[in-house]
Amino acid sequence: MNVIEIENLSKEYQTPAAKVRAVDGVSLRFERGEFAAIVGPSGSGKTTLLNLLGGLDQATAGSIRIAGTDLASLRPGQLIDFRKDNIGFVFQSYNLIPVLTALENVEFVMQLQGRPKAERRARAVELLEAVGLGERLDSRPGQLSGGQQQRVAVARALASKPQFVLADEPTANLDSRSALTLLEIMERLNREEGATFIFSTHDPRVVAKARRVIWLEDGKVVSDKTQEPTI
Amino acid sequence: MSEILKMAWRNIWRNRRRTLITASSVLFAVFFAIVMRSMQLGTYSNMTANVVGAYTGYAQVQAQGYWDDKTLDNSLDWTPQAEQAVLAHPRVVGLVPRFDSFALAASDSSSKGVGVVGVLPATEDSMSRLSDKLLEGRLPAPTAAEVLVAERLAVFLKIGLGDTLALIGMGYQGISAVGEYPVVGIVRLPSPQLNASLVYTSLENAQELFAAEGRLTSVVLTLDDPDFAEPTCAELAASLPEGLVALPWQELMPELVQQIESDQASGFLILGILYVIVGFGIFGTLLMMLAERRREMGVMMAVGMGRRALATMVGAEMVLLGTLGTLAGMAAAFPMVLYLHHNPILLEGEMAQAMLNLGVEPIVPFALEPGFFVWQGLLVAALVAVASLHPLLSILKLNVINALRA
Ligand SMILES: Nc1ncnc2c1ncn2[C@@H]1O[C@H](COP(=O)(O)OP(=O)(O)O)[C@@H](O)[C@H]1O
Ligand SMILES: [Mg+2]
Repeated sequence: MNVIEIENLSKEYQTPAAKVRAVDGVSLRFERGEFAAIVGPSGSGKTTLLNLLGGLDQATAGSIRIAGTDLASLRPGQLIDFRKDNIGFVFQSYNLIPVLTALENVEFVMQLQGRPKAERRARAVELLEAVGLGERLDSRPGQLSGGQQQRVAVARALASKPQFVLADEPTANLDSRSALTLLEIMERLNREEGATFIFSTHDPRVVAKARRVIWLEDGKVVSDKTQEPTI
Repeated sequence: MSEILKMAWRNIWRNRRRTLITASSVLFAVFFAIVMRSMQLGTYSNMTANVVGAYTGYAQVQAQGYWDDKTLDNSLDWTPQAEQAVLAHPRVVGLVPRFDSFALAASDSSSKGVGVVGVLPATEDSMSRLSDKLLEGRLPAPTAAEVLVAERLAVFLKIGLGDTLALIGMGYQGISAVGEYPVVGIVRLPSPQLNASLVYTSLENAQELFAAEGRLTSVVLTLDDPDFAEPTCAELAASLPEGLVALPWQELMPELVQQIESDQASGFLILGILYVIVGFGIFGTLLMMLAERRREMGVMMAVGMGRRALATMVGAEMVLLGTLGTLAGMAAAFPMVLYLHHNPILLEGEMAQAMLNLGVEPIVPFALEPGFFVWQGLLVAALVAVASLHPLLSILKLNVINALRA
């Protein structure tokens, strides 16, 4: 079953110099449980595409349907609720709320969903253990390494049991060892939690871990292939 | 909500130094405002107590026209009806009758124009505390023909206890007034002007000298609360007999009122400038903090935190910061004001002389007014609110994408 259907999606930015088509007529489908990489050089439109997909930005043309819901049909308040329940985000860096501990950061999203305290805590502990940070529950982001911070961010993205997780260059600021560890954790959680992962990257070793690779260039999809991931 | 407060609390301690600087600026403003205002209020009440309370009185009854033209023709006929009307007012607790006029005072060696004040010695003493200011001798006896002379005047005329002072003047309705009286006391008056020109005698003797039996120039009203001088006088206007007026000290001493008002205005100006500076300081801190935390706010919005919750959090941070600074400022100012309230500063030099010229004790006692502390709190709260307005509005308009790209 298709979780995400993107139809002829475009996004234009007006800059003083000219109009920039950051995403240009993209059509894509994602199914439940996919582990897909969006790959392309800097400026190819990866961030813009993920932001559109996450309902953070509005498309200039085209449509996005998630589990049958057209994002454009949602009012702003509904969109926020929809995001909270269906989409997890991991950003490139400074993902976490600096004044909250790892545990509190993961609980934060569930708190916004209004889930009861005991349930929140159990889920947060389970996820932090799953990303290998069971011993660092009470550490603040500043006390964690970059790789550990990104693992907390992945745990947080999954806390609300979303349909899919969008990760924009999650490994860009990590050394290659931490990057591969993060990818392995994401891949395992993708299987265990059943959430679709869509992540952007321009790191070939990260690309190699994906089961599907979508190439972007100048906002256009130039290639879309499934592959056997390297272990 | 408690989560928002928790984050707000932790946020203000993130940049410890900035928080301390901002809170200190609030602390300083509050401290300075309280100390300065306490000093002003204390000084004003010291001035009024000395100048007004000790001589002029907080209110007087006079004949219509006497205030503008202080001649005996404008003296008043103090009838029992007038006295009853005045004493019937609940705030009037006592009366100090006076007969004031001018005369030429002469001793064996020299002469000088002086003010002659006829008083009921005991009554006058309870108000003007003449006996505290006596240098030598005693007050005139209740109805006796004897005089009490101000210190500098006695020096000028080269007279002392037991000497005779001659007074020559013009009595009521143009009758000439001449008399010779023994000096029974020398008094030091705080106002240098009065200290060089005043002669006290008994009321009866003054009336006799000026041929004005039964007449007075003014009746000082003792009030239960000096703050009510103006309304009390306004109320008395209706019940006083024809031809008499009740004047509050504000009308009797317009220079003093003016001096207090201009001092008050300059004080408020200084405070106003101080608050504007502190307000801009808070504003600047907020803008800087928002710029630094833009991306973080973008992330928080992306994961589902509403703009209003964000604004509430930042608002709570400002409230905490303002409260912290205000309480610290109050805590710092309180012991100082308390100490100076009980141990007034003694002035010296020119300042002291200027106050002495006004007949005021040269001290700066601090007022201890809890009401002012509360006002300070509200003022700083308003200041923080105004300074936070724009930054909070900008959070309410924050765009996720732009914030994330920051
Ligand atoms: N807010 C914006 N205003 C103007 N141009 C933008 C904006 N956001 C992105 N762009 C432009 O859109 C193009 C795609 O950017 P982006 O999606 O960030 O690419 P990537 O993430 O692949 O590096 C770039 O040319 C970028 O300059
Ligand atoms: Mg990007």
